[in-house]
Amino acid sequence: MTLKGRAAIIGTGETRMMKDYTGSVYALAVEAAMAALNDCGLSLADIDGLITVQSNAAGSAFNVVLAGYLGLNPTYSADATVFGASPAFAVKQAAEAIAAGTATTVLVVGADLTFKQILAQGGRFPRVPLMDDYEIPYGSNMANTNYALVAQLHQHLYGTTDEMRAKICVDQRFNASYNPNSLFGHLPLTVEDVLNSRVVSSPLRLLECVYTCSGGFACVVTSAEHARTLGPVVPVFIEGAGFHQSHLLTTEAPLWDNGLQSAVAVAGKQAYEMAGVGPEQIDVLGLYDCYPIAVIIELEDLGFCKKGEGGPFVAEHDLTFKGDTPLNTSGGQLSVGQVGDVGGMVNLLEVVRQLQGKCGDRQVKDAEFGIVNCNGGAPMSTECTLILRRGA
Amino acid sequence: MQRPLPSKLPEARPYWDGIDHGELRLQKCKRCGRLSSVPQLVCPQDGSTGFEWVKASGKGVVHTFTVNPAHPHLAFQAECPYVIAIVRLAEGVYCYTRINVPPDQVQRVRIGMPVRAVFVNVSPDQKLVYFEPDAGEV
Repeated sequence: MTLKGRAAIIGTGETRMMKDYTGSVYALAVEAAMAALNDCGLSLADIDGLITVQSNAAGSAFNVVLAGYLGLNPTYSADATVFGASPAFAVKQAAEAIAAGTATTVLVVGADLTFKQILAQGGRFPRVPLMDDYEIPYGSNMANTNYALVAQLHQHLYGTTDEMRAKICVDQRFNASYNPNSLFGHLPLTVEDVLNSRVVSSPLRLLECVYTCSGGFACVVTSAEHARTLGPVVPVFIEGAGFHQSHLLTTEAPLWDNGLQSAVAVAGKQAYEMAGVGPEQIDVLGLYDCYPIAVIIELEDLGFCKKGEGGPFVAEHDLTFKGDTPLNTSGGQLSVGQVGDVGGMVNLLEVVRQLQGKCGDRQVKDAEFGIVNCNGGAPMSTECTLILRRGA
Repeated sequence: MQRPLPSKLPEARPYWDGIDHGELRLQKCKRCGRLSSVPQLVCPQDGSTGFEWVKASGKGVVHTFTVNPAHPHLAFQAECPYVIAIVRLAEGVYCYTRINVPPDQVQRVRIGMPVRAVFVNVSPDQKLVYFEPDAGEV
């Protein structure tokens, strides 16, 4: 039986994004959770499922520990650990638990600290087996290196320029200027600013890399039947969901052989087919933006343009909330800040709020369908795509 | 300061023995013949667990690369700038590696550049396989 339309996101919440937070990750998780419940007028007593999002600071069994902090006794409990794909994956899992009848209302919560804070609090850098033996010893700078390798090849195959990638940063910075809860929304940004910033790993520059921060995000997912009883709440139905892991180690990525088509194509296809919609029906986008090259590949693999044409696409389209292709309308990770593997949740919650009509100054008019992609791994190995629809 | 060294997982023993002897060994599935540049526990193509090891020619081309100008680890920082690359071996598999050119020649590296394997000490007891421009490359 299909997942389509069985569950809806009804509330969202987040903490401030912070560069220098020295408190506990659990406090951030609790704050975000309570904000999401408050947003849809529910309380902890209404919650019978809890799904946490992979957190470097919280480590394993975050779901069990957080249930303790919240005083919850869930019948469904999970920690979504598929790297950066985890936020969308947690929402997909919530819908699956609800469709199976294991839970009726699920809290999805993500929070993390900067690595600096994790180390200061006695934690350790996360290690990925195999990368320690076959990548790190060569002097890899991990994500910076691996996405640079992708961007260099995309430029070679398709002529994608530094300017095209920078345009994504600029349009998202415009969006962030309407978001007081962003680290960089108050700083205007031009393409020249991006191109003049120092090279981090060629061809990637500093101002096209995310800045990590501490923060928390949460949303409440409930059954379609229950959502319809909740008066003023605008439910956002999960119409389609897909997941794919294509590889672990960088050398095993299929994208080196196939013209840089990523696992997003597979996850996206599953989501579109379940929802019965195509890219032409999407009104608002939330695409994982660790680097602009990831956004370019997501746009291609989700069918907004042909493979290889993502660069010209972003150059020719207006990605601001006022434009024809509203993307990451709260500024994305690039302008808001990246909260570890939870970072993609900033775009997921923003798409939900756009579909609920709650975005105020940066509202996209008549937004009915949204697409969210959360990406993880190096490069682009775990992908989870959601198609969301505004309820009546 | 010492660079981070590989832990050398048990299933990869033949690979690391090869590196010690200046030989790039590829793992080959006995059943389907699939080659892997990284030692696997299970063949991703047919799920079998019987492997043998074959010597690679050492020849390849740069599939993609990046010039790394700085690194938070002091030992790597001392070597910057250097080039990290994905090299496509003649055998059709990929290696994550370093292109062995001096820091003042990092701009020479090109996608498609022919390269060959060299074995470089990164500590007194440990070599890694790097690649350098092949003979005939200007």
